Amino acid sequence: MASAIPLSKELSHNSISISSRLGNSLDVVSRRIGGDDSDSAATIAILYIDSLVDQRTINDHIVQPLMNALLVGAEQEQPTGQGMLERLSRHVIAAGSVAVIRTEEEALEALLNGFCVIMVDGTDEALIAVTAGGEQRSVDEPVTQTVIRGPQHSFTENIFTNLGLIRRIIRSPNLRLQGKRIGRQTQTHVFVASIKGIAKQSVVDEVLRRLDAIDIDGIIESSYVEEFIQDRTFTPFPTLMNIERPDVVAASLLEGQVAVIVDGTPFVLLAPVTFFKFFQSAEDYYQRFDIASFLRLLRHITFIASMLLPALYIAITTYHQEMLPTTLLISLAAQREGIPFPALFEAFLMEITFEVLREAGVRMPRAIGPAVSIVGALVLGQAAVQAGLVSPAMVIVVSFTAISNFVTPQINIAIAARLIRFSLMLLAGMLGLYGIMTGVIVLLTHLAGLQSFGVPYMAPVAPFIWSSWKDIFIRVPRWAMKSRPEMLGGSKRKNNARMPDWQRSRSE
Amino acid sequence: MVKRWLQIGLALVILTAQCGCWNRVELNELSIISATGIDIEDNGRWRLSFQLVIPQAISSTSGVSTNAAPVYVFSTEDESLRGAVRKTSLELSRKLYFSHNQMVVISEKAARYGINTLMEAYIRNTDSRETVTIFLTKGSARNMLEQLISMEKIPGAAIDHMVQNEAFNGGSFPQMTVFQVQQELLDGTHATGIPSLALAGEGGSFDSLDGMKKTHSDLKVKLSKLGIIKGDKLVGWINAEDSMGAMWLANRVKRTTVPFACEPSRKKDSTLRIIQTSTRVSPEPKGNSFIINVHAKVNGTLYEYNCDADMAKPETIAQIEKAIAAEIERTMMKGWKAISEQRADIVGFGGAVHEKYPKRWREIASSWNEQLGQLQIKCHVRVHVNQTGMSIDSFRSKLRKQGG
Repeated sequence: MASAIPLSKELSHNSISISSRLGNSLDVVSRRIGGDDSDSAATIAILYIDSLVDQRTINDHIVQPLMNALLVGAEQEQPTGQGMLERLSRHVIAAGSVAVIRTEEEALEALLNGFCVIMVDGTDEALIAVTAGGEQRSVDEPVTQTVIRGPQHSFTENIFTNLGLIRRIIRSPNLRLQGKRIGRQTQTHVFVASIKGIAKQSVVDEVLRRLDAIDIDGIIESSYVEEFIQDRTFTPFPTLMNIERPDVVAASLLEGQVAVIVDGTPFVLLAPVTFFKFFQSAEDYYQRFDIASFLRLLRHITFIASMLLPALYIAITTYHQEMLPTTLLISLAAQREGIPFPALFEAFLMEITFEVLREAGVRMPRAIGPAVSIVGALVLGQAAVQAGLVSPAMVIVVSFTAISNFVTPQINIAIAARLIRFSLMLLAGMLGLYGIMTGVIVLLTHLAGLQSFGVPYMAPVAPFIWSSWKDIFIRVPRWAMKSRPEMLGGSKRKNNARMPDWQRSRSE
Repeated sequence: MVKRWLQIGLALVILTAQCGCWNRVELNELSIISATGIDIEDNGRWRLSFQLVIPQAISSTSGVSTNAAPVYVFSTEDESLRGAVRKTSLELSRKLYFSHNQMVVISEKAARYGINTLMEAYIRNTDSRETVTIFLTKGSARNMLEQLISMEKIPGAAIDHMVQNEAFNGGSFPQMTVFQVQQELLDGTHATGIPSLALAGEGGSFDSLDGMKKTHSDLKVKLSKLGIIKGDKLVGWINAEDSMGAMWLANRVKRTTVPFACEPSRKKDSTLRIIQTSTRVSPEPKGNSFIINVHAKVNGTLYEYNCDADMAKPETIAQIEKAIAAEIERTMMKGWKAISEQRADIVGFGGAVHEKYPKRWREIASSWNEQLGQLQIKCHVRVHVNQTGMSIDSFRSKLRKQGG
């Protein structure tokens, strides 16, 4: 940054200079109070950007007290310059946070963050008071990560609201929030949240180090940060998680993860993560452990299905027909009778069609939504079968694959499965089950080599850590979760975890 | 980076070179075989017949009318079996697919000539499975493949299910797969029994869908006799009742019903349903030959009982059990007589001797089948009637008690 220009003692010079540095924009308001009738003789000036402040705060807590003070003081002897500034700061301005600044740059930064700058003639210092406001989206129900039972609020675009949501869940002095400004132009607030004593200090330091290394014009969404701090770029698998639910972020912090909260987006990043973390839904912890375990197993199975099913169908029907039961083989063969394309091409046709439908569903305006479902379901599904372009079994396979893909609670790992599916289909079409096996081996090797902030991606399966298995494929009852996930935070959560005594006596 | 791409490229090249299953075949390029028939011509050439499934005619989803026959049968001739398979491409648009073959039928003539060619073909090839069920037939094998089976779409699969049903619930004939036949022929006694198919009823052939329009069929495929194979050749036939005895001796009976006479004077109008049974064979030497002790344990439920005895008394049950045991022993002895006349140990007594007296066996193994007649068989059948069903006394005795 260029050397700072200090404020001058002359009030009008300061106010004109700052306004001009903001391009004399119309929404920069410069209000002059006191002195004689002419503007140039005013003793106090208030500077703020109209669009960033709360008008009411300015009126009630800044302008009015100032005017009252000047009126009251009219009969007495008025302090001037520095003395006036101190009086205003101590006795007059009714804002929560007031600070003293000395340079134009500081004044500019304060203005752009919604502060108002109060300058007094005859001193080279100025006051800034917090008056930030303007329209904000209120705290709403989560849109992308919904649960049936559990808290129904989500993060908003305002980082301070978001920090508040987390603080309100974890009322501990150990909750650490370390703030940063990233982005040359946007100067976006980024906070790193962790719990001292649970999160590994090395991970927190690593997150901060990687954040410091970011040099970019602007941060619009947390994905900008994610791409800069993730461990590997050339992998379909995400090494950070994004969450819009305060309860999930709080729970993750309690497990020893570190949250990166970025201003302007409701999606908070969590690191480090493991592969299996992506299959844990918030709901797992709000429902009974038996159904939660069943659903979690189901999620793992459907993830595999969403990756392998079309490939397996292609491989088995074109290379390994002997694996099918005779009646199924005959039924499939009858369906394929008269289909002009090979199974591989047929599968690609349907998969691409589905991807197009899905993309259209996301992008198009809400009002024409039903049209796409009609076109998708009727025209492409039923009509394609009746026209003899694809076999009904293939439609079933592709639909089930698509539905399986939506089961995964985290959309960014589901996307990984979508991409991998296509390459496995190609391998299956060229080499059969042998090709699928090769693809899966390559995939597993890749997964085993991934790391997220020093934590092996496949932990606790590889490396094998038995104590962390209680919350991977199943969720054990809460009293049995006696230690934190070892790779993330480690250390004991409870000393003598066991069934509560009164429950124990009843179950015997 | 260049090195890395090179590595990936090399891996792909190796991947394609290592591949074991390169022959991609779409489902509609296959002709699925459901049954194979083997005949031998007078000039010594094999005539192979194939029953091909026509999927469209079977699956109702395709919307095509199902007036077409569900299978298509055709034959080829050559001096070797695989040669005959090769010749199918002269008249077939699709690749023959053997993996879903359900059964093989061998004509009597071909079986008397020898089945080792067939066994060789099955051992050596990857696409034919040894789990295929094997049958004999007195007439031509092709004729058997041409027959339709009512209620079923695929005749080959239907006949396969028929023999499974018989082996599990009837008990007169075993289901013999190619693998089992190979196992028994390579066993010490070199003998096995294969059930045969026959056409029962009037008329020439049930090979048209028109026959399906009636509520009954004049002609049907039935399991009939058991063919005795010794070495690799068919040597003779035994009838269903003798085959039943052989099944008892060979511990192959699973569930069956045994008819018996509840009083010596009556006909066999009472039956026991067998729920569980096992037969154990223990040989003991006697002079030059052996005594074969056959111990059978039988558990069952009374299904029919037409005498007056008071079933509430344990003595009555004991009496019934004795009568049933005698009946089973009689069946066993009758079966044994038929087998020993054929001089083929298809029940595996030789195996029991081999197991217990390996040294003696080595001396007598070669002449074992010839000296079957000298064996002395002692049957010890223990029957246990578990339940008398839903009632205790017979309807007849109830009627009498009411003064009827």
